[in-house]
Amino acid sequence: MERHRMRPLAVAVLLAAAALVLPAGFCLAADGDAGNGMDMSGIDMDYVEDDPFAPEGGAAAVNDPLEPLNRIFFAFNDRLYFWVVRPVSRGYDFVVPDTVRKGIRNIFFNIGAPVRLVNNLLQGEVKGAGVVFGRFLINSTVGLAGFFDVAGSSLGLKPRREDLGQTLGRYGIGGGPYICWPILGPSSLRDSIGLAGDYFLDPISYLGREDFLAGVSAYSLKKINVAGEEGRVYEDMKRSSLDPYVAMRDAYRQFRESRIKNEIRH
Amino acid sequence: MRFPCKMKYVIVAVALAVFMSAFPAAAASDATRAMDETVQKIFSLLSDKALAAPERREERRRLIMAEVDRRFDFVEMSMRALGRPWRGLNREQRIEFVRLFSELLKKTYIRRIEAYSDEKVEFRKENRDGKRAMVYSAIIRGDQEIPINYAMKLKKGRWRVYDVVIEGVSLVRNYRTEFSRVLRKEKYAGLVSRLRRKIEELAAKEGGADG
Repeated sequence: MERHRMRPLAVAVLLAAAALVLPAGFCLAADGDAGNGMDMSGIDMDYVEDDPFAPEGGAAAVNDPLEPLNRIFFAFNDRLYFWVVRPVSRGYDFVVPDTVRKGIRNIFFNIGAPVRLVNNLLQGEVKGAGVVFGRFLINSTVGLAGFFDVAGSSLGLKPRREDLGQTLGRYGIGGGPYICWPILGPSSLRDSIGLAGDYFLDPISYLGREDFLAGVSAYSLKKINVAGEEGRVYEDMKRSSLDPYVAMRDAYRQFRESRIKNEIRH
Repeated sequence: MRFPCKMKYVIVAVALAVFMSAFPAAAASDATRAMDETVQKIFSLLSDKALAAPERREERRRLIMAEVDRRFDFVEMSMRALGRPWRGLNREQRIEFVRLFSELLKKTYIRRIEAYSDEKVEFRKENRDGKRAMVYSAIIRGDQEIPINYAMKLKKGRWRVYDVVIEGVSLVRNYRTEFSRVLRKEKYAGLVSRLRRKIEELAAKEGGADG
């Protein structure tokens, strides 16, 4: 009995000792060969799909029956960006200070609270809806009409972004065909329907119905205000890919999936 | 008679728990620690005033890349970015592909690394499954957060990254979609020549006024 009790303990001691010593030894060995460039170990290994963190099902089949048309719009958006949006955005960013840009972004985000509130509720996210409501109350008042994100910076209430496309996704509706809209950019059939639904919850679209020009101006300001940032992401993506259209389409799909699964909430 | 038997397991469990906490090497978050170490090293290179001089730019790049090479497993990344077609390549082709793909990644990402200034990196959590781990982190820039996750694998006692997930978008999966399309239409030769062209294009831009 005494021996039996001792054996597991001895094993535990050995294990702990091994855990302490072995990695140190391996690290030294690995440090030695890391000096002259890349480590080609594993080059003879055959590809095996055994990733516990890969999303189930692996790479989804591409659903893009409108590809020829989408590519035309993608090229159109690309030109619109480089010929119009980028120069305008550079000028805008040069004139408008960083803090003001942030404030404007916050104001527009704050105004969009109804969309997030309703979609949190539609998804049964009661806590999320509470966060959206709390943020809206605090930022609209203390945060001066949303210019400052007081709720986020002082109270740690981080945004909970939900839209109708995500809600439909949560209900089990797949993205459907990929659509690259002119001006609006990448979307899917589901997310386009979502966008149309959210339109009725977005105060800016009510402004647009009252006064078309004012609506368009507000939308343009909202977009040009973040165009510098978003443009840099787009340019990076274009730079790093062999076929930017395909890279964008796949990035959009992955981006939306991560939001629908609430892996990322903002 | 059963009770002491159970006691034995309790003692072992307690002993293990004590050892685990006494020796951090055995803790569950060593992938995070490995990643954190690399991030800190790169940040200290970037904040080194002496290295920031324009004439030492190449040297600083080399030092940063040495850290990247240590932590990123470009072979595994290439394998996963190519997917099943990797099997059909011979050794020379595989080495050629790893070289080209890693060069493309380095050429595109070094700019972003060098552009970091007042950002902060926070490590949030880690999911571990045997020799695999997913390390969740975020880059904090002012009031904005960019979630970046590292998929890591324990190889020869060293945690190394085989995929980076930025804002929910997996780099490897994104490239796999692109590569599989090129492979279907233009075969391996087409993919290689496209990669070569892309790298040349990036090198040309580097020399130009852009940037």
